Amino acid sequence: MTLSLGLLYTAGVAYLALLFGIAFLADRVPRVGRLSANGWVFSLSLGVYATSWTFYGNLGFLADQGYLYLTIYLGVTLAFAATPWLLRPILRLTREQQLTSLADLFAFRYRSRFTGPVVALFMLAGVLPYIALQIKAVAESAAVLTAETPPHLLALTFSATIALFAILFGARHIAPREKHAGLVLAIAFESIVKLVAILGIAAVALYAVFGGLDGLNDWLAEHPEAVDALYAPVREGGWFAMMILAFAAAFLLPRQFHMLFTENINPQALNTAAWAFPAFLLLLNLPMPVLYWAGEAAGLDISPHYYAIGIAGLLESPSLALLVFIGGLSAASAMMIVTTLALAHMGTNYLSPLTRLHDEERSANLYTRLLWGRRIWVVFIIGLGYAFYGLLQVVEGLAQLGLISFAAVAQLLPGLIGLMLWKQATRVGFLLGLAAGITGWTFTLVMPLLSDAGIAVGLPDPQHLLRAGMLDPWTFALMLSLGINAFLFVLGSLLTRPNREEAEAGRACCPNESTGAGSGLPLAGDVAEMETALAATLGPGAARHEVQRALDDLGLPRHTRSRGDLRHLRERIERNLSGLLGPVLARMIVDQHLRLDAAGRHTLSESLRRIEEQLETRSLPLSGLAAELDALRRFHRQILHELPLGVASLTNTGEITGWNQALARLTDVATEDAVGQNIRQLNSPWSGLLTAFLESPDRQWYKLNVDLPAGNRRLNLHRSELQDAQGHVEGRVVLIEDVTERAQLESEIAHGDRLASIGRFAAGVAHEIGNPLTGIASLAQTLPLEDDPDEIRGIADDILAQTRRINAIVQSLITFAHADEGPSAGHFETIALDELVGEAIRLTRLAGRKDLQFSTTGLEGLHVRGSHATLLQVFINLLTNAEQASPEASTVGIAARLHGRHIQVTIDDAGPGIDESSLERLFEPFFTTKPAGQGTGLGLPVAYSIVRDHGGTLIAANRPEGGARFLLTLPRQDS
Amino acid sequence: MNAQRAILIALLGALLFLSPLVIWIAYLSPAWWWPFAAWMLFIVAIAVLTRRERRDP
Repeated sequence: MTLSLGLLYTAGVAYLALLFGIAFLADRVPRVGRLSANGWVFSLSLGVYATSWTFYGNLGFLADQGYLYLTIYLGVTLAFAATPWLLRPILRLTREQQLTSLADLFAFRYRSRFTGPVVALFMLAGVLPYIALQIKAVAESAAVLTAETPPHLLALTFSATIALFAILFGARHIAPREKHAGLVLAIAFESIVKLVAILGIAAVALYAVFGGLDGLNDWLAEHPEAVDALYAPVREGGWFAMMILAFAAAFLLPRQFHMLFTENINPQALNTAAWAFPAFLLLLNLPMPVLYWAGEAAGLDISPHYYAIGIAGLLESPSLALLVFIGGLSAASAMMIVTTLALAHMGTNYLSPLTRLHDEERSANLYTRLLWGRRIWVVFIIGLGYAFYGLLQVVEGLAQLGLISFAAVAQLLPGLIGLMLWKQATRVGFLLGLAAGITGWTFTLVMPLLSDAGIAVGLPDPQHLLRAGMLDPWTFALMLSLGINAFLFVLGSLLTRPNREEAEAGRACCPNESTGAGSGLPLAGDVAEMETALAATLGPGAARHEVQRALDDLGLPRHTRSRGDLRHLRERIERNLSGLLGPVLARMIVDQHLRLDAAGRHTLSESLRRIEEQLETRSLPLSGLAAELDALRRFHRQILHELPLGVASLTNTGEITGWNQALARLTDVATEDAVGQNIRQLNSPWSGLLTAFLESPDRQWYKLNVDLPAGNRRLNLHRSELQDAQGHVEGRVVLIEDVTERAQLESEIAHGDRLASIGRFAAGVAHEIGNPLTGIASLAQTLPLEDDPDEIRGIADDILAQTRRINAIVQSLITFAHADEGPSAGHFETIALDELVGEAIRLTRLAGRKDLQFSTTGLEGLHVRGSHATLLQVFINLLTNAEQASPEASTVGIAARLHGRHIQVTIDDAGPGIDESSLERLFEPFFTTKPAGQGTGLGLPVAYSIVRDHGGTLIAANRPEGGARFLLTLPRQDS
Repeated sequence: MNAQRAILIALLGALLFLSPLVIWIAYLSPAWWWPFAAWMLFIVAIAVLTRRERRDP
């Protein structure tokens, strides 16, 4: 039975068109596109691993190497079993840093202008045999079906068609994050086709050749050597080397990396894929021994690679033959399309002149250039694959070509392990190891291949040369290439030190490391400025699009001017550009156009905030000491957040880095809105108030009256500076204390104290007013008896003097009685200390004893700033206290002196002093040493509170020579 | 998957496919489906532990 070449080609193109239809539908209909995020669909899309090597080559491999063929799939199963600590961390990294290819991944970690190109070039060279294998398999399967020699025209047409479809699938337009839902769905569909084709032909073979399972068992019983032939190669070695090759290939082959990480839409799908993808591979491989034995039992006279086609031919079933051909085509086309797209991405970013963007025509559209760059690379790669196919037609085994590619990608294993676990690994070590690995790979695998193909005849056999003939070729090749690679990687890394960028990337790659505090703030003042700067390289359209995309990603408004927001925006732009152009070029563009501040360093508070952000958003849990420190950090932050005092932390430039709950309630500005803003951007009155406070020389403002929408509030403001270990001021902390209720209570207490004082004053007032009144009455009586005008004038002057005396007493009382308002910074005035103390002495005398003397020293010329009425009350309370403690005919001394920016006033009495236990409680409200009913216990607490509100201190002590001393300190006011 | 489960899976995988047990089984030359049965057992173990993790709070 033979089929015509035209039919095969038509069926092939129709099948590829169907695939494209599925991809097109998924891209256009969101409901269909969303299927690509499904775990099952994602698992099936990973079936791109099973190429025509699996479909055809497995049988040839099984015929030669028995169950060694299973290593190619068991190694993958082990890699997927390691999802939690292998695949998921890589997925996290590639998503966070927008790394879309293997070259991106290694170029990100081992920052060097050589890393990306070397990896890209090596992947291209390493995978070419694999692409050639696909073309060879399709051409040879067509040859079997058409009974012709391998149709080169079909191979060429197939390659051209695949190039076209690869462009249609993945290079039709530039996707923002290289997510092609249509491609994922189409590849998943291809996996189903492969599985159905293999299971279908195996079921047919089982019943057609053996008559069912019983027949197979009977045949095996008659041919016990058939089963033993499968186990024998395993006993001879090579198992472990191939397992390592397959383990590496599971996620380091460009197509696997592309589908696993680049095209992953839903990270959770990886959980399903961890077991569903190996299950798919198991189903795909289970029929292989049956198919092989069916071919053997049927006595097919063709290469075991094509037994599936042979069985269809044996049954004279064109439809079955076509199904097998489509299955093989499906396997080959999926591999070629995805591999080509992955390599085209690397080629465009690392191997083409596009990497020198600044030399290019600036007005050119970045996206158009990228798109055409990729299309050219797709055609170029498939062209190279076809050329390789032409060169290597004499190579018999499909598996040999595939394993050479596996060995190539395995050279990335040391670098990958270093990337994930060793932050001291350096680019020198990586490049050194990789260079050695490439040399070893070429020497042990490529040279023999070229020699076998007759291209480089006469090359020495490496195994023979190194007297390693007892080893199987794969163990030998792996040991030599990977062993030297790993050794030099470690040695090179130990002998060199990672530079700043590498160290930063190392921290980002290692799951338990903080990514550090970054290196500065953007110089650009707003979004438009950043956009203009980027346009110089990207072109205006692309710059606008990239900036808007980054703003959308972060949910930031376009008008933001917060430097914190702009820093986030810069980072996001870099990551997004990394997804398009690779991390090296993205960093170069961003560094060149979105420069950081000249100081190049964050303030401490910004650094802490950034670290906190990273800790909050990290996807992996911390463990050990790091977890305990994080718990402690959260505890301290919670304390700060729940503090009933308003707390704001600010950078030196006024950017808010912390804003706790109490402050959010007081200001009605939510924490998330405040953080990142500059204080000048806050609403009134907070903007003006905080700015004025931060610019004032005062470190405290007391009982400030602030009008808020909810009513008038009294606030205490405190300020302190944050310093780093070297003493540099890194920011400021502002505490805002709402003392409205307390101020009201204190005011009421002070009012009560004043009323008590007024009561005490009443008798003295009566006496003080009574004397001048008696004098006035006497003078008034003598006035009518006087004729001399001078005498009359003298009596009138005396009456007026007595009246003034009465008036002064009354005025003092009125002033004192009306002092209901507590002190506030807004009502402070300059007060002459001698006048204030004189008035206090006069009022104290009204109600007090007349036998006491008040002596004053050093008061003249000194001024304090404060509230006259409340400070008067302080002195009255202190003098009254001294008077009550003093013995008869003693003197109360009041002395003042300058002390720095303060004035110290001492009030000494000659009393018995204060006992030690009372000293500690003297300023507590309602504490009194006087007998019950003789003291309120409010005088000294009120004085203490008023002095504190003036920014001063009040201390009580005993004098060594006897008696008590009150030391009052008040801020000095220069007259 | 937590660390203990990941270690359990790794050890099971190493025992089944990376230890001398493989060579021993090859010498015993059991029924042809044995490697597939071991493979399936391993996949079931991964699936069970992965699904159990999803149910855990």
